[in-house]
Amino acid sequence: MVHNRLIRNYLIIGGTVILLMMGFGILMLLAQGGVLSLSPPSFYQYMTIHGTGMIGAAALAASAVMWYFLSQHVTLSKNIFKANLVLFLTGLVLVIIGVFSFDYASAWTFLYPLPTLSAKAWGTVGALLYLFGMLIIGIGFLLLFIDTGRAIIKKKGSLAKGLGWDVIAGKKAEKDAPEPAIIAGTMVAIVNVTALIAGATVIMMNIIHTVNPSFTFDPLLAKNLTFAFGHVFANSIIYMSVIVVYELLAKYTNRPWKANKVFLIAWSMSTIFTLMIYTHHMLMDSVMPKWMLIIGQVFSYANGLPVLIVTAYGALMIVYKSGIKWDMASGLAFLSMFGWTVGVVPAIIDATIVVNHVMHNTKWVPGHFHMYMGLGAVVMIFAFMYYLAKVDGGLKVTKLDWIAFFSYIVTMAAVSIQFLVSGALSTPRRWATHIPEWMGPALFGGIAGVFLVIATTLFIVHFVRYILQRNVKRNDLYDEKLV
Amino acid sequence: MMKLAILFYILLLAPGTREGLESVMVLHMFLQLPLLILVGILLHGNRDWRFLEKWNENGVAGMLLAVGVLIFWMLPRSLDDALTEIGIEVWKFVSLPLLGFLWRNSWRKIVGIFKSFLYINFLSMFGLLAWLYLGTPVQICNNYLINEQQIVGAVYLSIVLVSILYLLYLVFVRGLEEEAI
Amino acid sequence: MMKNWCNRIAITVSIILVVWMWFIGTDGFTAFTAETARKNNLIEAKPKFPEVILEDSKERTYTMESFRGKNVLITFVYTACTTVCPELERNFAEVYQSIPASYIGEEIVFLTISFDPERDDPKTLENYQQYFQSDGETWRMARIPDQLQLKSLLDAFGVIVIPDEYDGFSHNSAFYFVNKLGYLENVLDYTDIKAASEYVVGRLEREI
Repeated sequence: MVHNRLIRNYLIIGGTVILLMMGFGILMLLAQGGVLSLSPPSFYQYMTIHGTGMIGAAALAASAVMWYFLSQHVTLSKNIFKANLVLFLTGLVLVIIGVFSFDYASAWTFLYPLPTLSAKAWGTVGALLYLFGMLIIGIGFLLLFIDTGRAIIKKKGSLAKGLGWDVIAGKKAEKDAPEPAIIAGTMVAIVNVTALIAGATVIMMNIIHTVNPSFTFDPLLAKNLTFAFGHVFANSIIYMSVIVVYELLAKYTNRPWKANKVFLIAWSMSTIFTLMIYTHHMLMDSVMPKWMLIIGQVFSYANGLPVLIVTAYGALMIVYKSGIKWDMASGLAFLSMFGWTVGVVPAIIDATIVVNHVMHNTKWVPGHFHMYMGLGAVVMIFAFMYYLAKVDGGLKVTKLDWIAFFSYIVTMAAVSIQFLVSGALSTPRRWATHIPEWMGPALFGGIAGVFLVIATTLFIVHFVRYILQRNVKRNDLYDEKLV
Repeated sequence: MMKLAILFYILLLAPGTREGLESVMVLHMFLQLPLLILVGILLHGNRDWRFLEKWNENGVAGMLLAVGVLIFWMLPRSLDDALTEIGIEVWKFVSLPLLGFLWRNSWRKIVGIFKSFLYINFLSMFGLLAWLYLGTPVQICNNYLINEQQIVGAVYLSIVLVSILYLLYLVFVRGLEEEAI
Repeated sequence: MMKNWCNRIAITVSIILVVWMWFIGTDGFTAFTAETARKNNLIEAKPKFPEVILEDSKERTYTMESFRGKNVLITFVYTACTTVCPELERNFAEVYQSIPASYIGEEIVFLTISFDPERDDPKTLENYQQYFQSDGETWRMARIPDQLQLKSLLDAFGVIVIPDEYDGFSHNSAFYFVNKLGYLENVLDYTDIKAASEYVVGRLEREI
C-alpha cells in the first residue's frame, strides 16, 4: 500500500508525544490538587509544552490519517510529506529547548506581547527558540497543505470543485460528487493555509518585537491573528481525522460512503464557519467591533454542526442493518462520533456572550476542549491506528485492548468532567495554585489521568506490536528470498 | 529587449531621476526598486542563457539568491544605508537587476509547489511589513518622515489584498496551469 | 551527473552569498534598522560633546564644561512637537523620578536640548518645563542659539532632524548618557523606562 512506513512513523511519533503530554497534564492536575508541590514557573512551562505538544502531535497524526486516504484518490508528494515530518521534529526540538532550558512559558498561544515581556521569567533566547520552533513547524504544515490543495486542484480543476460546488449548483450529477476524503482534504487545505498565513505573520511579528522591543504592534490585531491561526489550526484536526470514519465504515460494511448534496453543503458551510468563528475567543475584549463578536457567537453555534450532523447521521445509516462486525477500530470510530457530539455542547454554552463573560476564564473551557479532543479527534486517530494494524498487518486485538477501550472512555470522560465541574465552581483556568475549595476535582482528574495513561499506553503498545510484526514479516520474506 | 534594458538602466542611473525617486520613500521602494528588477527581467529576455542550464538546473540556486536579495532590500536598514553609504547604493544598482535576471531564469524551472509556497509566503511577509509600517509609532527609516512610512505601509497592504483576491480567483475559478502561480 | 554537481555547488554558493549579504548589511545580525546601527556605532565611538554654547530657560549661557564632574542624561526635542517628544519627555521624567534623590544634581544632571532655537526661546522652554515638572536646575531645558554649533552637535551625536510639511520635524529619539569627562557613553532606548533607569542607577553606583 501507499508509503505505509511514513504513515506509521507519523502515527507512532504523534501517539507517543500525546502519551507523554498526558503525563504533564497529570502533574499539573496533581499540583492543583495539592498533592504535588510544583513551583509556578515549572507549572507554566508544563502548561506550555502540554498545549504545544498536544496540538502539534494531534495535528501531525491527523495529517497522516488524511494523507493515507487522500493519496488513494489524488497524487500527493511523498517528499513533501517526509519534509513535514523532518521540519516538525526540528521545530519540536527547538520548542523543547526553549521551554526546558530557557524557561519559556507563555502557553502555546504565545499571546503578544507576552513572549517579550515576561517580567524576566525568561529571556530573549527562550522566546526566540520557541517562536522559531513554531515557525519551522508551521512551514512544514504549510508545505503539506499547499501540496494537498494543488493535488486536488490538479485532479478536480479547482478547490470549488473539490468541495463539489458544481454538484451543489446542479451542473453535475450527485453520483459524480467528489469522494469524502477529497472534500475533507479541500476544506482542510483552505482553512489551514489561511490559518498558517495569519500564524506566520503573527509569529514573525513577535520575533521582531522580541529582537527590537521599540517596534510595538497593535495588540488587538495581534490577538485576532493569533486566534485566527490557533483556533482554526486546532479545529482542523478533527476534520482531517474524521476521514477515517468515512473510509472505515465504508470498508467494513461494504457500502460506499457517497457524498450527496446535503453532505456537500454541510462541508462547505463548516469550511466558512471554521474561518469565521475564532472571534469567540475575544468575547471578553470589549474593544472588538460588536458585529465581529456577534458573528463569533452565532456561528460558533453552527460551526461544527453541519459536518457533525451529516457524519453522525451518515454513520448510523451506513451501519444500519449492514451486519457490520464490531472491532476496536469501528468501536473507536463510533466512540469518536459520540465524543464529538457531547464535546461541542460545553463549547456552545461558552460561546454565548453572557455566559462567556463569566465562564471563559474558568476551567469550563479546558473541559470543553479536553472532551472534544480527547473523546473526539484523538479517538479517531486511535481508530485509524487499529484500522491500519488490522487491514495492513492483520493483527488481532486481545482482551487487554478492549479493557483499554472501556477504561479510556471512562477516564477521559472523568478528566473532562472534572474540568467542567471545576468551571461550574468558578475555578479559574491557568492558575498554578488552587485554594482548598478548588482542589477536589483537580485531584480526581489527576488520578483518573493515571488510568487514562495506562489505557493509552495499551493502544500504543498494540500499534508498536503491529510495527514490530511487520519488521519480522519483512525479515521472513528476506529469508525466503535467500532460500 | 537588451537595448531597452540598458536604456532603462541608464535612465534610472541619471542623477535627476535617481535623486528624484530616492527623495520620496514610497517612490524609492515601490518605483525605483521594482524598475531595477524589471531591468534584470528585460535583460534576461527570452534567451536561453546556456551556462545557466548547468548552473541553475532546477532553478533552486537562482531562486534562493533572488529571494535572499529581495529580503535584504526589505530590511529598513538597507533603504536608509543606500542613501548614506555609497557602497550600498552601488550594491542596489547591481543586486536588483541581478534579482530580476535570476527570477526570470528560475521561475519557470522550479517545481510548482515552491511557486505556491513563495506566493503564500509573500502574503505573510508583505502583510507583516504593512502592519509594521502602518502601525508602529517609531520612525523606522531615519531618512524619511513618519507619515511617509505610513504611505508605504498602505501600499504594502493594497498589494496583499490584491494578491489574496488573485489567489482566490486562481484556486476557486481558474485552477492551476503550470505557469499560473 | 556533472550537471547535477554544478547545480549543487550553485545552491551552496547561493546560500553562502545570501547569509554573507545579510551578515554584512546588518553588522552581523545586530542592527536591522539604521537607528540601531547608529546607536551601536555611537556607543563604540564615544564622541566628545562638542564645544557649543547652551542657553537655558533661565537665560543663562554656558558650555558643557560647567557640568564637568557630573554625568549628564540628554534628550533632543522641539517644543512644538505633538507626537514623539511629549512621550519622550514623559518617559524622561519617569527616569528622573526613579533616580535616588541623593544623586540628583550631585552625580547626574538631566538636560533637554531643543533643536528648534528659533521658536524655543527661554520663555517657551520655561513654559514647556511645567508640563514635566522640570525644575530648571537639576533638569534643565536649553537651546543652542548658533545654527552651526547646533549642527555640529547633532552630527556628532547622530541626531537626524528632517523638517516636514507642517513646520515640524521628523527626528530619531533616545536618551544620551554623557559621562563626567564629557564623552558620550551610551544611547538608551527611550521606550524602555525600566531598563534606562536601571542602567543609570547601576552606572552611578559603580562610580561611587
